[in-house]
Amino acid sequence: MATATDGVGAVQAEQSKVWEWLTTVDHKKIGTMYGLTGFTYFLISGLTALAIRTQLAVPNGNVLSAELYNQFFTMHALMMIFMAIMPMGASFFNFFIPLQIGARDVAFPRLNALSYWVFLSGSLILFSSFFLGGAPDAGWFAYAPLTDSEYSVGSGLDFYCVGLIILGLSSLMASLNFAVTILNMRAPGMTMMRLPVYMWMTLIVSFLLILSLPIVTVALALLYFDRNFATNFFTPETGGDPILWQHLFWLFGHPEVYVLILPSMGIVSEVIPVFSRKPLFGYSAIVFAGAAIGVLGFGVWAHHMFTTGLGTVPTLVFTATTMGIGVPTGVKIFNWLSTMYGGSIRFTTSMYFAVSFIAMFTIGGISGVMHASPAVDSQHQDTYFVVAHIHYVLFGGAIMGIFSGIFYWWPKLTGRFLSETMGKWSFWMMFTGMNLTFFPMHFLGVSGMPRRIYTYDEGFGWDDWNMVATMGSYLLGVSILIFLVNVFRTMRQPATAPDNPWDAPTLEWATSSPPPEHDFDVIPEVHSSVPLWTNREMGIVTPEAPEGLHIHLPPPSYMPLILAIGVGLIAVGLLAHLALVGIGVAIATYGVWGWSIEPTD
Amino acid sequence: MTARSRQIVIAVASVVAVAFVSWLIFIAFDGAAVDKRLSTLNPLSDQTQLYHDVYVLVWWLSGIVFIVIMAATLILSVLYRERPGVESRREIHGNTRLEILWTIIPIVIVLIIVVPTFGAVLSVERDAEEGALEVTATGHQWWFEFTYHDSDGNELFRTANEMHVPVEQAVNVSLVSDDVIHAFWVPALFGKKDMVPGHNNRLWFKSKPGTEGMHYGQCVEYCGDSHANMRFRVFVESRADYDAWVTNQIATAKWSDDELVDAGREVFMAKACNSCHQIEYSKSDAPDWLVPPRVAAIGPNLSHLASRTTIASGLLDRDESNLRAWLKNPPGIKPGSRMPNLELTDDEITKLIAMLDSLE
Repeated sequence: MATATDGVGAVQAEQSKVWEWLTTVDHKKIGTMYGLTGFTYFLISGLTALAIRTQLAVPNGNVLSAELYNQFFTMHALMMIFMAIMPMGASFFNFFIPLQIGARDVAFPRLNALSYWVFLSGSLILFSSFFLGGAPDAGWFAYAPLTDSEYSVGSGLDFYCVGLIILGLSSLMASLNFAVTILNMRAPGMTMMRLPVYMWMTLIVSFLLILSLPIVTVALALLYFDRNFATNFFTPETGGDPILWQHLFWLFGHPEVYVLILPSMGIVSEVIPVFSRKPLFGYSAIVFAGAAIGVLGFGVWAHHMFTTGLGTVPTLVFTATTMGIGVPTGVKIFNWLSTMYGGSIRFTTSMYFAVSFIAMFTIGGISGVMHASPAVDSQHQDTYFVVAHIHYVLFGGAIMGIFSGIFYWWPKLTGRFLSETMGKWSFWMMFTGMNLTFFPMHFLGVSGMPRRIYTYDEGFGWDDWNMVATMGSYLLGVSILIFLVNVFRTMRQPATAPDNPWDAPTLEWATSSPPPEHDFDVIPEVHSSVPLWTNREMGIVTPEAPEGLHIHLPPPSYMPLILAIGVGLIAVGLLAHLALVGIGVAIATYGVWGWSIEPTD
Repeated sequence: MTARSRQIVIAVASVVAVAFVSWLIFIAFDGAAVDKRLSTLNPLSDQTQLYHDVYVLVWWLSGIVFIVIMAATLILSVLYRERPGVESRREIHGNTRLEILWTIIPIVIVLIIVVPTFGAVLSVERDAEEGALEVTATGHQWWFEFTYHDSDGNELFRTANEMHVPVEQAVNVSLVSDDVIHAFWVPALFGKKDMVPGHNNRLWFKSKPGTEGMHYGQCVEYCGDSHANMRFRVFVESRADYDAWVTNQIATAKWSDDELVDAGREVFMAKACNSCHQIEYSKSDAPDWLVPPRVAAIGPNLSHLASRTTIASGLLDRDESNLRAWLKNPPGIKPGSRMPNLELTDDEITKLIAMLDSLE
C-alpha cells in the first residue's frame, strides 16, 4: 500500500516551497514546524542552563552577573516548559493523532495552523525580551509583589505576561482541536478502550490545558493590569493579596507539570510493548491511572505553598491529596515493568530511553512523595533537593520520553533510521550526564543549598558536588551534540524505511514511511487496542486502494498566518505602543473575515 | 554456561550493583550534611527534631522503594532481553489481582508517611508555649531586621541580621515583610516559613539543651537581585550571656569623644547616612541633630553594630577591610543594594569605620 500514492490526493498548483509551508494545513507539516521550533528553543534553553552551571561550578563564580543569572534561570524554565517541551509534545500530537486514530487530518486543520503561528509569535515575543531591555527575572512562578512595577522596573515582566498569554492562547486552540479530533475522528471499530495509550494521554493533556490555561491567563492579565494600569490585585499596600497570585498560578502550574509528563508516559507506553514484543500490561489500569493523575492534579496545587502560612487544615488536606497522586503513578510504573516481564526485549536506542524513563521518573516520583510531607518540605522547599526532583521528572521523565519517541518514530516521520550506534552513545552519555548533574543536587539540597542563588560562598560545603553537577551538565551538552550529528547524517541518506520496521501494533505503522499527504489510502479496521497484531492473527487484510481513488483534503490557506500576525501585533502593541493594538485588531479582523468566507473545497 | 544461567548471573550482579549504588548514595546523603552550615539533617530544636523523625522514616521508605524499582528494572531488562528461540509471552497482558495489589501497596506506603506527618505538623504548628520570647522578624530587600518586645508587647530594641535567643527558651517569631516575599529559615532550629507582605505569619521553636552556639540562616524565597546575599545568624546563648546581650542592646549607643569617631559622626551626617540608618545616642551625650525621631528603618539600625559579627546581611565578617570594601561600593558587593555608592573618599571611610567600631 506504500506505493499507491501517485495520482491520489488533491491536485495542487505548483507553488514555491516557502509559500507551501506558510499556508500549509497538513498536520504533518505543522508537526514538523512545531518540532523544529521546539527543538531550537530546547537547544537555546539548554545553553542558558550550561551558563548557569558554569556560574555555579565554583564558589563566588563571576561568569554571570546577578541580573543576568536571574534572567537566565527564569528564561531557562519558561523556554523549557512553554517553548520546548510543550511544542515538542504538540509536534508529536500533530503527527500521531491522525495517524494513530486512523484519520486524514485533525478536526480543524486551519485552526491547527493558527495554533502554530500564534505559538511562534508568542515565543518570539517572549524570547525577544533578551534584546529589548532584559528578560523576565522573577522566576517562572513570578511571585507577587516582586513582579510589581515597584520592584521590577524594566519591561521583562510585561513580556512575561503578554508572551505567556499568547503562548497559552496557542495551546488552548491546539488542545480543543486535539480533543475534538480524538473524540470524533477515530477509525471504524476504535472504541475509547481501544485507543492507543498515547492517544489517551494526549486527550487527558488536552483537557488539563483546556481547564487550566484560562486560570493562568486571568492571573497574567491581572498582573499586566497591576503593572501598567495601577490596579491592586496583588499589591498588599492597597489591599491586594500576593497569595492570590500563588493560588492562581499553581492552580494552573501543577496541572502543567502533568501536561509535561503525561505525553512521555504515553510514549513509553507505546515503546515498551513494541520492543518487549508483548501487549501493554494492564491497558485499562494505565488509562485509568492517567485519568486519575489528571483529575487529582487539580487538587494538589497548594503543596507548592506549604511554607506560605496556609494554616494547619489546608496543609494537611493538600498533604493527603498530594500523597494520593503517588498511587496511580505507582500503578503505572508497576504496569510498565510487568509489560517487560515475559517479553523478548529488543534493546534499541528508543527502548533504552524508555526503560531509563521508568527508572529516572521513579526517582523523581519518590522525591516528590518525600516532600509531599510538609515535615520534609519545610526543610527541603526552595533548596536544590527540589531542583533535583523537578529535573528527574522533567529531564529524566519528559525529555527521556521525548527522545524515546524521536528514535521510535523517526523512520515513520522521515523514512530513515537514526544510527543506532550513535544513538546508544548519545543515550549513555545523556544517562550518565543527567545523573551526574542532577543526583548530586539531592546532596546539595540536604546540605541546605538554596535554589535561585547566583552565587554561594566557600565554607558552606557545596563546592564539590556543584563541580560534579557542572561537569555532568557538559556531558549532557555533548550527548545532545552527538544526537544532532546523528540527525544530520541520517537526513543525507536515502529513505528506505519499511512501513512497520518495529512490528508495532498501532495504525501509524499501517501506512508508508513517511506517510502520504492523505495519511492512509484505506483506513484499516480496528478490533482491539493492538489492531495490526490482531488483524494479522485474524487474517484481516486491509484492501488495496481502488484505482483512481480521490481523497478530499483541505486546501492550503494563508488566513491562519494573517490572523496570527494580527494577534502578534496586538501583543507587541501591549508592550510597545497601543496604536499597534489597533492595527493588530484590524489585521486579525481581516483574517477572521477571510477565514470565514474562504471556500473549503 | 547456558544463556539462561548467564542471564541469572547478570541479574544477581544487577542487584548487587543496585545495592552498591544505594550504599554509595546513603554514604553521600549522610556525608553531604555533616558539619555543613545549612545542614538540614542537624535538628537542634524540639520542632526540627519532630520533623527530622518524619524525614528519617520517609527516607528509609524511599530507599526501599528505590532499591526495589531499580533492581526490578535491571533484572527484567536482563532476564527478558531477546534470545534466539525464545518467544515473547503475548498472552500476559493483565491481571486484576495484581492491579489491586499494587494499588494497595502505594496506599499503605503513603499511609505510613501521612499519619506521622499529620502528628508532627499538628505539634509544630500549635501555638507557642506560655512565656515565649516575642521577636518580630522583618524581611527587607536584602536583609533581616529583628525587633524584640517585652512581655507586654512593647518594643525594646531593633537589631539586624543577627538574632540572639536563650537556650531552651521558647521563641515566638512574628514574620512580616517590608517589600516582597522572603522566607525565614535556620535549618537547625526551624523549617522555613515565608514573610509575606500584608500577612502576619509566625513560627516558634525551642532549642534543645546544649545547643549554644552560632547557627546559620538564609532567605529561601527568591526575592530579587541579591536573594543569594541575604543571610543571617542565630546565636543560641546561655541565659546569662543572653541577658548581658539584651542589656547592651537596650542601652543607648556608646558615646565616644575620640577625635576620629567625632569626625566619623560628621561624615555620617554630611552624607545623610542617617536618612536610612539609625544610631540611638543618648540625648544627654549627643547634640540634638544627632538624635533623630525614631522612624521606620530603611537600613539596619547601627546603634550596636560593633556587637555584631557580620555586616551586609551576614555576607561579610565585620572587620576593617570588609567594612572598607562595603562602604566603597555597596552594590558591587550586594547587587541591587538600596545603599548606593556614595563615592566616599578613603579618608571619609576611615573616619566612618572608626565611628562604627565604637558602637559596641
